[in-house]
Amino acid sequence: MSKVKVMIVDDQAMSRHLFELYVQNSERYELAFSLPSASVAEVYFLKHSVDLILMDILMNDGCNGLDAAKRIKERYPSVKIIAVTSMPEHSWIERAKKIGVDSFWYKETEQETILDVMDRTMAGESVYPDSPPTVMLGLAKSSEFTERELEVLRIITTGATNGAVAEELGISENTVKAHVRSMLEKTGYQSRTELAIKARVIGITIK
Amino acid sequence: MRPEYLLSLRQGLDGMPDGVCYSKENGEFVFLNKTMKKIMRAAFDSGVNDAMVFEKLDYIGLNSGCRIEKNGGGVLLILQDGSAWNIKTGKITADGVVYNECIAYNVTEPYGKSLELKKRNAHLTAVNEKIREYSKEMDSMIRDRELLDAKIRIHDDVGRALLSLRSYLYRQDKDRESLVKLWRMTISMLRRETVADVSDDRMEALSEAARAVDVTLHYDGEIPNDRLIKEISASAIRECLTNTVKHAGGNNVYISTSLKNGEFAIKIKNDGRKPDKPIEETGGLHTLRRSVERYGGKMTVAWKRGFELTVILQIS
Repeated sequence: MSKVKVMIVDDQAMSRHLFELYVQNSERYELAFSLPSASVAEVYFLKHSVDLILMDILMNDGCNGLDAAKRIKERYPSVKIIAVTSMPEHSWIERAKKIGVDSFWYKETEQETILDVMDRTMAGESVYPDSPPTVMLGLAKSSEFTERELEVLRIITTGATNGAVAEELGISENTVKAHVRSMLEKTGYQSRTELAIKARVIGITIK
Repeated sequence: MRPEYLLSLRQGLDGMPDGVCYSKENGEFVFLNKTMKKIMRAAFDSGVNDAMVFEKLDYIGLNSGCRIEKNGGGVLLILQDGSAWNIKTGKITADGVVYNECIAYNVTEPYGKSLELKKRNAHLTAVNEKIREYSKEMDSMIRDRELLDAKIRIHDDVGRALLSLRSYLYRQDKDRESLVKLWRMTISMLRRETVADVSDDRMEALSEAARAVDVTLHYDGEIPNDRLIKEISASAIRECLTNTVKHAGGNNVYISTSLKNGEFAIKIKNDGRKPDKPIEETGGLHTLRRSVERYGGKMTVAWKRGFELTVILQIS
């Protein structure tokens, strides 16, 4: 039986090499390509075929693995993709599902090994965690925030004003203020700035 | 009008918190209430005898410490004591005679609040700018954390390998093969731990991708070390590389860059077949044009003498 051809896309050399080792030491998989950026992943498909991609999401060069996954799935729907990340960003699981990414794996916290997830994915299963890992933001667990609060927080971390947040989400500025106030109460943080910076550091919201 | 009514009207107007002034068309005062007298004394030299003075605020000299601010359609007069007056001028007709009317509304309180708001907004803008800058730095901090996590994992693996070696030495059923495999993995990781991470270089990733599809990228000129320019240049090269393989069947992509008069230009050609009709900008080229134009740049796609993409960007 021929081995499954794997493409690894991860901009972090250490993490990429770890994946390479897992693949190279497995009897079921062979390493086809290992790339440091999702921005060029599609180029390889012009002349090569790949069965499975391990795609990191947050790339240092500004590109996003989920964007690349979307383009690849549109053109090569039979290629299986596993999104991998260490960020607890809440929206990524839903976005990956919407794009058609086959499975999702958290680098640091999953009990299951990446090889298990690869096996199950290649067997036709879609392996997704129920939720992102729970992290603490101040006094609050990440699971305590509402979807809307996280949406507001995601935009605030880019340095947007309340007015800009309101415009982007199509809600009033007073509603934005109410969400910020509620998050400050939950976290115990003193200011909107502290909330934005801590949220970005922890990676609960990344835009 | 009976004199007693006139008197009570005057008293009423004098008691108003706003300034009221009526004058003939030539500027001669007809009526001036107490508030308006105070305002005029504070704003102008004592010798003002022209009621039209408020219509000439743009160029008339004000007493020191006083200033005007244009506010939408009206004019704000701010006096030395900090009081603010919204000046409205117009014409009224009474008994067939046209009079100038000037009313100065006391807006000291809302004006003070608007100043406070402006100050607060300026502070908020500065804070948001700081968050934006901080956010830019954040990705590299996150990378560092990921790197540390990966290193911890490797050292855990080393620990696991050591435990396996210990167990191997004590056990009877020696599974030498799996132990050797484990140690090979561990040593390989330790060796790579010291290798510098150069993975942030998009250009290197592009060259590798080009090699994988049998294309060589030829560079003539430098690409400045500016994140935006590098990002757009890499996207442009990637698009041309894709088109070279997909449509032109070429093996070489020529990239020339220039930097002059605050502008960076990148021109990309290939050695493949010439297009036989104008290039339709769909997919990647369409996305690229949107990015270029979003940052105030220009993009042209020529086809008659062979595919040639040019992108011009302003250097910030």
